[in-house]
Amino acid sequence: MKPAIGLEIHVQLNTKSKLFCSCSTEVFGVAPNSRTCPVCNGDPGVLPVTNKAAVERLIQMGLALNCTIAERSIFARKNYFYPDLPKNYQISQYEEPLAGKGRLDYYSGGRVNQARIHRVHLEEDAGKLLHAIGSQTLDCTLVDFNRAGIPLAETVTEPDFLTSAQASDFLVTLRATLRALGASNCDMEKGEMRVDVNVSVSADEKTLGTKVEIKNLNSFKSVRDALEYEITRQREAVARGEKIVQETRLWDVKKAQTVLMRTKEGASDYRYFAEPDLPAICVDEAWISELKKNLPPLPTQKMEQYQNQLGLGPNEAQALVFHEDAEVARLFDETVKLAGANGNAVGKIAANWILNDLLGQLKTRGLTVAKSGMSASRLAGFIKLTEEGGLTSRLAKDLLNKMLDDPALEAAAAFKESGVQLLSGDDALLPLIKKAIQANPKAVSEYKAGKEKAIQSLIGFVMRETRGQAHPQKLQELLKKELTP
Amino acid sequence: MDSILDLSAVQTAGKVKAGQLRPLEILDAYYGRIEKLEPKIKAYLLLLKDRAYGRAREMEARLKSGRPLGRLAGVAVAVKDNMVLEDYPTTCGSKILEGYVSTYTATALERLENEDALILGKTNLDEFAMGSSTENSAFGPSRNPWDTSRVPGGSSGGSAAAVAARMACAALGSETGGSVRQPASFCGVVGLKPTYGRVSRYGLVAFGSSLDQIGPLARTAEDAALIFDVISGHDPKDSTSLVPSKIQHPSSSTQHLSGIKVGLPKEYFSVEGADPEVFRVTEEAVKVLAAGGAKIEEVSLPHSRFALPTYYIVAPSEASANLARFDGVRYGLRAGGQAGSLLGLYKASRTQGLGHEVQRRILIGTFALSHGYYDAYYGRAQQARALIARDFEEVFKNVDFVVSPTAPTAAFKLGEKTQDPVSMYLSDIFTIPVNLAGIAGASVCCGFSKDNLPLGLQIVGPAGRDEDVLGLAAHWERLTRGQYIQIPQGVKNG
Repeated sequence: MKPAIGLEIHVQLNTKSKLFCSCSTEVFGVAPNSRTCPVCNGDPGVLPVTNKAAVERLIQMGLALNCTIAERSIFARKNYFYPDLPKNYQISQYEEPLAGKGRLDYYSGGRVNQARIHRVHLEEDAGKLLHAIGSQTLDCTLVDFNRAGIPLAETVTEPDFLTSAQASDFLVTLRATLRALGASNCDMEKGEMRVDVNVSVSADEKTLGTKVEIKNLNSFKSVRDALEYEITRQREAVARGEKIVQETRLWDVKKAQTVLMRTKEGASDYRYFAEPDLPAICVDEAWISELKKNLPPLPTQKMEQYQNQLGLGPNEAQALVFHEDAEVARLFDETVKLAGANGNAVGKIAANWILNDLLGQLKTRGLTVAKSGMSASRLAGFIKLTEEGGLTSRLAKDLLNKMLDDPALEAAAAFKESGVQLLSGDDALLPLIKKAIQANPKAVSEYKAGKEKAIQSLIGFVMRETRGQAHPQKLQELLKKELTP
Repeated sequence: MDSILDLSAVQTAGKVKAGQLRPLEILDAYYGRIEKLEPKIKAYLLLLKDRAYGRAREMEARLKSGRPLGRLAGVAVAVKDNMVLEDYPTTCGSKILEGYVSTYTATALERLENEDALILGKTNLDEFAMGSSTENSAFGPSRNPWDTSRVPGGSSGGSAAAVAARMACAALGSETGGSVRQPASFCGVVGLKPTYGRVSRYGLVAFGSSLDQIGPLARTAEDAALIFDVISGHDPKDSTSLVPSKIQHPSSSTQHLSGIKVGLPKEYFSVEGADPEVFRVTEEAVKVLAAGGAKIEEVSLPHSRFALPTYYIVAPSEASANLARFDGVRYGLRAGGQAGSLLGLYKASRTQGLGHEVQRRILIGTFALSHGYYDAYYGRAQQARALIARDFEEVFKNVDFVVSPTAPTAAFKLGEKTQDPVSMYLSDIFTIPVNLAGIAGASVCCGFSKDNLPLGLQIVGPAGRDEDVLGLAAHWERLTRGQYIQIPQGVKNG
């Protein structure tokens, strides 16, 4: 039975102020209800005024997702009662959203797939209910309206995904796209990206089964797990001859299963109607082309650039462009820029250091790029030093660790501090080289017979003897000279 | 009768600025009058005495130091209690806002005070401006100064009664469907429903957002024009407020009656259930206009007959969303005890806090917007609304103004229509098409019924021509030598 998966993604748009008032959107870690005003509190008599920046972010998003941008778009009131919703209606878009049909290429399983976008619309966020403060359960519920009125973009896809991996890979591409645009930070921990999924299974290739919605998934892992669980649940139910009921479910992380939230009968009638307090948003060609002109390079373009101009392999490029930590790609771009003009080599080298060493270290240390203090200038300094100084990878790794231990330490200082003196003089190296030749007659004869690689065991011998402190290039140079009759 | 109370707003401001009249004297006169008449009229829900005296003293200090005063210097105004004033309660005539204190000030009130008007207090209204008599106020009805057994009209009845009884020099009311003009007609004062978008709605507690508009009530057309001039103008806080360049038909500054064309909509003059006396008085008034040089023409507004049913879909639908925020959670009345659950809290708070008419309209609106009914009700009402507006546009290609009675009857008795909502709704049959079309309409007293109750002449103009509408009302007052600008007999001597 074939599954069909559709996604609804809410992201917080990057704006200084809220969607309909001038309150700050910096709400993470601030006191409850300290970022509110009569407008976002929904006090009697207030009126909304649309934040142009939010509209522009959404149009840019629409352009990046190849959507049709509506010349005329309207807001609507979505009516439902809930204590986190100050007006008991949400200003959203229903008919005539800002961005209509589009498509996004995404990378999945080493291939480029395409998903169709149904629409992208603009709406305001609600507040947050607090049932406990820390571990202390409250005997009442408190409401924090700091989030109320923060601009959100809701992206709705067509049911174009066949597996949980495809859905998750699409989300990875979408996240990287929105970050590249500067449209959203998509930090799921801060609630800046929230995902609902629709999933159905069908025995018949041509028709879709009855869809079940799973709401409020707040990590990509939850998306995958919930989809896996739900696909299996539905397949088993159908196999037993049961009918799938249209309903909304929630993902219980602890139990690792989806649980019923409400059936279709229990669904709200939102009584949408055009928001009378706001005029239509009219977007003309000039505005669109202005925004188009300012679009930064998007992930697909970056993938090409990394591969064609910097010589990275597809896997390396993908790992950088779509990394969960948005700073990774930024660190890479800036490091390449700073580390020198000889593009290709530096690109490949920087990618290696970041992907193979730095990220591993950060993971062990439980750090993000931003928190590690590893700036592009420090990393570029490190790369220059290791390349020009010809450090062995062992030494270089130690150096990188030192720099991570002390975020104030530049590469040069770290190297100096390590006290390492590379042996590069003939006097120091030649005796060791002779010793190596004596001790490895097999390698010597192989090399002389034309097997160039055999020289590695001779280099290894000297390195062991010097505990890695021989200058690798100089060593190789001298060795070759000695072996050449 | 104190002579201060006889001064119009224009005269008052002139005298105050010239140093011939002190703001404190004005307050003494008006609060004295209010003290005497309020038990009879019940126009006010809240007096802002301390605040007004504080501002008056500050104005006197300014005057002494030679600094200029604003265009409404010392004009004592009353404002309908659905406009917010920071740090003071706003009740909207409802129990559900019990204990609520406003967190900011409405743009219209800010503009009044920027020009040194003195706000005396906040006036009574039908709950959330839903009604035509003030009988839907949770705090009891106001009385008509012409006959205290009768209603002052509504929903801005408190404001109209206060102006008619000289308990305020002028007032602000608000309209969604006739709520300024009908009480102006019932109380014998001038009232303007401005073109939609000319006065900021910021701080006016919303009823029907696409219809709501704040308007002045005053003794003379000239006073109404002055107040309108002060409160109108683009407000960046209200996205539906018009920028001057977007006003369709800006008013012409000169107003000569000769040569202007006045249309009489034939459909309005054959409405059933209207008092024949009302038509007779209106026709007399039209004759006076004609004698003054106006050309009178019959015109047709065929879709206006759909105005009432259209209005009673559109306004309640918008109200059902606008009033959803009154839920007992954040402010106002919260039902205790029996609530038990969230839904229980909502139900109990709204059942206790909202009156019958408000509940009726919320239910009508909720139903009209419901899935499966939207197209048949709200969708069709929007279509009808467009046709009603188009009728006016067509008519205004040929005439400058449309005139009709303001209301189908003079003020009715308290309790006369409370059991029959539809007959109450009919009270706004001539005024509601103007709200639906979003154009300008005024009411000016044009005669009296056999019971000596005032009757209003409605003057309607194209969108943006509010000044011209009041200009014609002022012409009417000049033509009739102000004979209909009267103080009700019953309150003449307090």
